[in-house]
Amino acid sequence: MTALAVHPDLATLNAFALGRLPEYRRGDVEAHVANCPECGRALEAANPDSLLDLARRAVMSTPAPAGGETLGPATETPPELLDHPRYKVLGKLGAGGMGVVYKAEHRVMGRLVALKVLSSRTTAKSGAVDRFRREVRIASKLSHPNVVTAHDADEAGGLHFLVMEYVDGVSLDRLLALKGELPVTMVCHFIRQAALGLQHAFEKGMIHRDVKPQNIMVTRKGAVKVLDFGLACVARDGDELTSATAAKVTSPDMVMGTPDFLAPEQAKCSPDVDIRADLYGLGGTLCYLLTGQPPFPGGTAFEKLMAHVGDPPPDISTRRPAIPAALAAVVSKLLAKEPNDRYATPAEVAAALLPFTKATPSVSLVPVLDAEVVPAVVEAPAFEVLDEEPATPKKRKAKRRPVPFYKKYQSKLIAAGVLLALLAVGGVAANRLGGNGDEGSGAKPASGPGTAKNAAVVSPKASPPTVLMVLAPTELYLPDYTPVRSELERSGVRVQTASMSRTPCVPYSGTPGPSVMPDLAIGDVDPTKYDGVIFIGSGVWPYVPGGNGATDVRRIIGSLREQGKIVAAICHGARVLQQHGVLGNWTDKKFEESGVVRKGQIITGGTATDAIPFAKEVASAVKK
Amino acid sequence: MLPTSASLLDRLHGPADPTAWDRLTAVYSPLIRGWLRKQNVRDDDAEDLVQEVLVVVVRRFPDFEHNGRTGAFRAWLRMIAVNVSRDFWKARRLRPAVVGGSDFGAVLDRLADPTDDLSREWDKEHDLFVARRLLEILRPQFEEKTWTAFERFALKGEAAAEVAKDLGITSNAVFIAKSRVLARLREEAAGLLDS
Repeated sequence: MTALAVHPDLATLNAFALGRLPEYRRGDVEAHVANCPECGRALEAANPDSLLDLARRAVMSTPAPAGGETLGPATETPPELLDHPRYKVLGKLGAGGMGVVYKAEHRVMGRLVALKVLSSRTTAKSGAVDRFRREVRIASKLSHPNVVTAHDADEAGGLHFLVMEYVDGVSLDRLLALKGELPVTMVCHFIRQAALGLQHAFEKGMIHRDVKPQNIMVTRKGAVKVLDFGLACVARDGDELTSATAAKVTSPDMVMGTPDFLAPEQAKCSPDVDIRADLYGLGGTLCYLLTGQPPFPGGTAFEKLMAHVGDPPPDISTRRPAIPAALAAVVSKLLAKEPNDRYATPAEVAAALLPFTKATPSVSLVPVLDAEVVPAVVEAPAFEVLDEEPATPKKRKAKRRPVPFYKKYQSKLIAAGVLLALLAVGGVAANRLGGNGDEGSGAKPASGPGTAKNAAVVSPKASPPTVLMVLAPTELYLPDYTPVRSELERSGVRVQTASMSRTPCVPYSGTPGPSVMPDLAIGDVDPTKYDGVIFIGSGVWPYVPGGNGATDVRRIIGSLREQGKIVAAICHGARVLQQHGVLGNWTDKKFEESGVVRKGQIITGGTATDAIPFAKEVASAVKK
Repeated sequence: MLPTSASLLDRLHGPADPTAWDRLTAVYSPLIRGWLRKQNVRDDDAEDLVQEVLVVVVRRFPDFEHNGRTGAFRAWLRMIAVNVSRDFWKARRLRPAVVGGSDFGAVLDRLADPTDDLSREWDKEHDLFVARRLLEILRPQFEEKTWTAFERFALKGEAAAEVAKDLGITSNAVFIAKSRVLARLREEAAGLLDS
């Protein structure tokens, strides 16, 4: 590091302490104060600062909880989830068979999600966590308007949770409880939508195993969503089996699901459970929503299981006379003991229910849900406007999704991208030609019969020199990167790229083009494999001291310098060298104005206009 | 050209930077959403409104000129939020139920007046929220130790010597950590927050 010989003045120290010093002056001051107790005292006593003060207040104040929500207190949030890097828990939504469900927000994207935290009792079972992850992986492949999307399975401090789509609505059992009775057409519409969701899953090779009113949600706008796909497998001893009798009689590993909606083959612990068990559950749900009672309401859990196996299905038209006989027949067929006597697929059920939904225009669903179910709404002005087409269709179109601003520039972006891609291809082609030329020039051992032994002896020379390009993960400056890389490869130098992680490096906005996928994450770089390293800007923050890639950068630079290899940088990449103390007393102003400079094994390029001469200099240096 | 030191606002002025817009969205949509929730605007309506506000911000941004005064962007954004909300409200696409019996229209009128207490409250919340959000976003760019030193010393006001001892670094390293994070925050927040 270049330590200043004299102490910086007090104004400079104050500006440094508060991060107000221009970047090109920071390196020197930092090098000095790192080991100067006297300056340390000045830094400690730095002046107050409005931004720092704001930051302090910002972290001290927690945002007010969202209004209008009936969330449980956030104090009930499990401590493991309090500081989760991705999700901020907003409150508790409820507790289910497998654990507690929280409403949360994705910290960066702001998207609302529901977190289903598995109870420790569930995860304690051997293999449960693996099964959970596996099921979530399968469930996350489901994508259908009538299925609640599973986003992710995550873990925090040993706590396992499922991240799923947040549904602003209620489950069907709660809806019925709130309304007392639901119109027949509405019920059929709901169950039909649920059947469409099950059909989608069925087509993807999944069965639910626990279809019941509690697992079907309806949103404020009347959309129906089936949730908890695949979870029945994990919650094998689901909390619903609370009866000691049931727990004793049925091995917890064999029976899953609520006894009220359980298919006979599930009750009998048959291994041949297929989609038709879900149809039985759907039939039970339909029965429940139409009549307010499950198919076999009386008795203990054990007696219910026995009834599913042996008792004839109820004739629901006797429970509610307004139910058409044809609809009662649909319920009976769904509740048939023998799977073969039921419908074969959910799609068939959807088709069978269609005639009973006809009388229900979808708008009429909205008032039913909005007016009474949603307690947060104090007044209820004309709901219908919601589903009306607004006067200006153009606006409506814009409303759904923000038009990504770059759409406007898309043609330009594409043009620029194509251009850069062509440049890159041109570079590769030129490289091939150049490479061949080199080989033909006799500079390398002639390849041919009888020279194999010779080639083996000089093998280190035979392989082309390799340069590592360390790329800024964001704001990658393509006018530096593209020509430097092409020129190196044209000169017969092998190039490998590394960045913070193996995710695409995003180009700087001013010079758009395709993102660049690095070959390596910086943590995986073995510096002994390279003849040189080049840093490419612009977004080099992670690489300068204090950044989370700085340790690896220090390791790489240190190793290459120790080996007498080339350390180079162009444009903003030079900041990395400067901040790591490699450039001595150079400021970035100085190297920007100086063009290509070589000092021993260090090479810098000022700006993109130096790219080709810079690359030539590096190529010739690593070849020696 | 010095793209590295460009603030978020500068990057938005660039020709086309999806990352900058993503970041703006990540910072501002929760802010607007939270404010709407506070007005008891329901989640689905709020979502539509947030989207619409962002669409307008994106469309009008090329015309936005920072006049150099603190809070110019904040005020500009507040007016867009007010105007879009008013359009929604007039078109009866919103069903808010404002606590206290006052009317959503009146709330919007007060927010349109920069001297009204409600506007000032909004501005204050804006600053706290954006600062908190930017800190969250910048955090992963720093080494754990650097961040912890900054957080404990600069934000929580713990004694530098104690923080240094816990982290196994010198007190001066703690001051340097504070300098680095603040510099980065200042860079990113330029034009959005008073800095």
